[in-house]
Amino acid sequence: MSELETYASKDLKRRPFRSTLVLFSLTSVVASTTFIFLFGNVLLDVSVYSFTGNLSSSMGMFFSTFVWFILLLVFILGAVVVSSTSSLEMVTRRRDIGLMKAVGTTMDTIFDFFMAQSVILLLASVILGLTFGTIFYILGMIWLASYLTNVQFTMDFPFIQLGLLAAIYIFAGYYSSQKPIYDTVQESPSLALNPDVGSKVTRSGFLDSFGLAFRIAAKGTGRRIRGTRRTMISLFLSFTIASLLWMGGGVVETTSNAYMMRSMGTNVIAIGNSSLLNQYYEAYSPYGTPLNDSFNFLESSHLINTSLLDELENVLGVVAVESRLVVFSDVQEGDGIVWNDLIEDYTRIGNGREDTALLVGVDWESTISDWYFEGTRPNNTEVWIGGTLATDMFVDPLVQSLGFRGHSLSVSARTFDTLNGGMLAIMDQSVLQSVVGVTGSNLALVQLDYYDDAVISTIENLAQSYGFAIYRQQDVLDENINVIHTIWILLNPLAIMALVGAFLGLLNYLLVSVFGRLRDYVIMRSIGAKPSFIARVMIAEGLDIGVKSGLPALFVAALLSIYTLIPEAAVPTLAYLPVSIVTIFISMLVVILLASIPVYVFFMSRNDLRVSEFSS
Amino acid sequence: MADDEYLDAVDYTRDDMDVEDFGEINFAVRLADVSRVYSAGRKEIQALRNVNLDVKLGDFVVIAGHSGSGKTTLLNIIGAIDLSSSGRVFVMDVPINDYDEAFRSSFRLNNTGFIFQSYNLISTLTAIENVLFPMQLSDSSHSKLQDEAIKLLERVKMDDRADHLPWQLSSGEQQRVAIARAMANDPPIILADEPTANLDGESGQMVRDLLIELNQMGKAVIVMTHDQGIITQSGIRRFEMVSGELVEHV
Repeated sequence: MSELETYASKDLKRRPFRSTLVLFSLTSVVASTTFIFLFGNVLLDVSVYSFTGNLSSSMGMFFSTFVWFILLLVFILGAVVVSSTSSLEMVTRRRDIGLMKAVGTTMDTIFDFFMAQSVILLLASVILGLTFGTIFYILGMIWLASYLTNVQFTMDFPFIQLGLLAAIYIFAGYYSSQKPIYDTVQESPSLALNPDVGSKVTRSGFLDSFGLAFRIAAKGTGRRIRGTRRTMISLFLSFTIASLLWMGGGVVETTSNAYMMRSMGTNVIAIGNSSLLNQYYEAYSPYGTPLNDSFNFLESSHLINTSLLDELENVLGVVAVESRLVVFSDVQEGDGIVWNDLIEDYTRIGNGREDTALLVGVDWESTISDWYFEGTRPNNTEVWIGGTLATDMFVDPLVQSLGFRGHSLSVSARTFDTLNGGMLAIMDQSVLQSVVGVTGSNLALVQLDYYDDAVISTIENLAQSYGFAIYRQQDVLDENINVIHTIWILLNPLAIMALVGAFLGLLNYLLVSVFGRLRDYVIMRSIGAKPSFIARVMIAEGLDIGVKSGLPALFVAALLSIYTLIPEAAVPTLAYLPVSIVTIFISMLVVILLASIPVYVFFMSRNDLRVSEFSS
Repeated sequence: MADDEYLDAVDYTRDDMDVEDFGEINFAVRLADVSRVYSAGRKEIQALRNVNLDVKLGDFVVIAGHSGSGKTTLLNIIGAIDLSSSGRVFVMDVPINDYDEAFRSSFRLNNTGFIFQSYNLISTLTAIENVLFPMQLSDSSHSKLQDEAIKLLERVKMDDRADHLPWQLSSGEQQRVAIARAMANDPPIILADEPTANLDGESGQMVRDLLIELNQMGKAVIVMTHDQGIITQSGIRRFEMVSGELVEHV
């Protein structure tokens, strides 16, 4: 260790309060963002497992867009908080830098001295933070394993992610502490020694109307402490993440549930050959397996007699009866023609890929399903394809066609359905019948008012009289909804961690702000300001900066949740959004209040202040 | 009045702090055997030793002494900024050491005006806002207080700099604003710690005149100073702090 580094570390030891504070603050932020990042990755794995198992890829895409966006925000948040904390710490040393300059220390020496201090704090915090973050992550994984016994996920130690995080934190922290030191080194010593010189009179803001404590706080935050902007960005990100996870998470869950219920229909009893039904619903279950060639859907014994359908319609309690033809088949990607801006001409797209999918023929007039789709309703020459099929087999599905059994239909939409993991194509039943050469259907779906055992028993007897079995589709639907709900529950700890991040960011800002104006606070006390007034000023400072960053975050999160990240977003109830917004706003106020408490306690516990501050 | 009689006469339960409600005051300040010991690691530093002092309203008290003799400690204890280690401290007949910090804060606000050597204006507030601050803490009806603050700044001839921040004012100007602030809430006691130490001759004279004016208004003025201009004034009581002990020069 060089003489300069030794001196820098000694200086840090001589300022134990401030050094510990910065170390704690940086370590906590690195630990919390590391945990969120690693644990969020696991959640994605869980989602991927579920989605590639049997839930539709289109739903996976909705969830993964949402979760990936959150992880991106967390990643940015970590870098911003580390940089703002490092920067703020160096801002507090402005007077010391001015003093060293005033006594004739060279600019290079000053720069090296303070950078050495910054690097010591940064490296120590990053190492400690990553360690604690990883420990929390492992504990989280243990909890996850005990909570989700049915779901498997990979447990590889995340060396790459940790390395990436460490590199980003060190780079962000190093660069951010460099700037204020460099700026101050370039200033005249008198300016650095008198940080108030050049400050302007702050005019009344809207917070001023809340009383004297707010007026005093607004004057303080109005001085624009260097690093305030970065603190506000980090608070904005933290509050956005928490709001997105709470508000958006609920919207994602409800929307996914709505998609699922719309595509499957509620209170449905399926009728058909028992082996066919088992195969079909195995391909619908979150823990089942996709279809394969081993089963022949088109055996004549599987076709349902139309008189059974007529009898079913007459059963009391039946709302609707629908017949479908389902066929497992090879499918091919058909070409499409698109305009190419680059060569200013039409070009052909499509790679002629091949795969297998479940073909579903439906009667569009009587179907009980109301699928979410992107595109247009199909006619007799068009087909809808599932999310996974669209992603895996097509370049631009809506301008391409789907080939199957020597026929080709234009793709008019991609649709949401979890059947066969999204590897399905839905078309008019008459079209499919003519292609496969049958005249009937092999699956009947009977929708009831509600699951009444007597009605189900009647339907079962009727089905058995024709040699068919029944299947309670609602059980599969409930199972799928439960999986989505579990994923949403898993998102909640991340929201809390995001709020912890906001708490730490705000706490650090307030510590720098309050202890940067320590003299002002001590003067207030000496003049006669009660401890409760001092506490109110600190809370008001937190509210000033917290509300300024929190309200836009709330607004952005609501917009993103409803309009951007989740297509055709659905909300649980009309009151959901207002209630969520109010809940998050209250959480925000609690975070601000909690962040002010340690600052106040630190301030009031330093009894030596009044003596040293006023001694002549 | 003997000490015992005085202690018996003091109403310990009184929680109103405004001098106007106090009725007849026996002493603005009364210290009985006050000592203050600071701990510095294993060492103990005796800043004050058995200090006794009686100050009545209308008294002008000057306490001189070398640096480190305990002047500031004594002033902090009288101003309820610091607590004594032993002895009794009565300010406006109130045993202030017996109350909590919230009470002492309110007490300071209404009964003492502090003038510091280093002015101690709040850096983010303008001159008038610094004067308004203690008034607003005491009473929040803003429009009326604004006029009173302007009047106080006029008295110290700083009304034309009312909207300037402390860094925009000279040392003398800052001290005059600090005096205007000390007069806010019309406290009966003015405590000044080396008020002229950092000022040039002209500014120093202006501050001396203001302190005398405050004393002539009936306030008890206690000044810690080396300033001969103040020490040699007629009609004042002179003390000297010597190693934590207070000696009166008659």
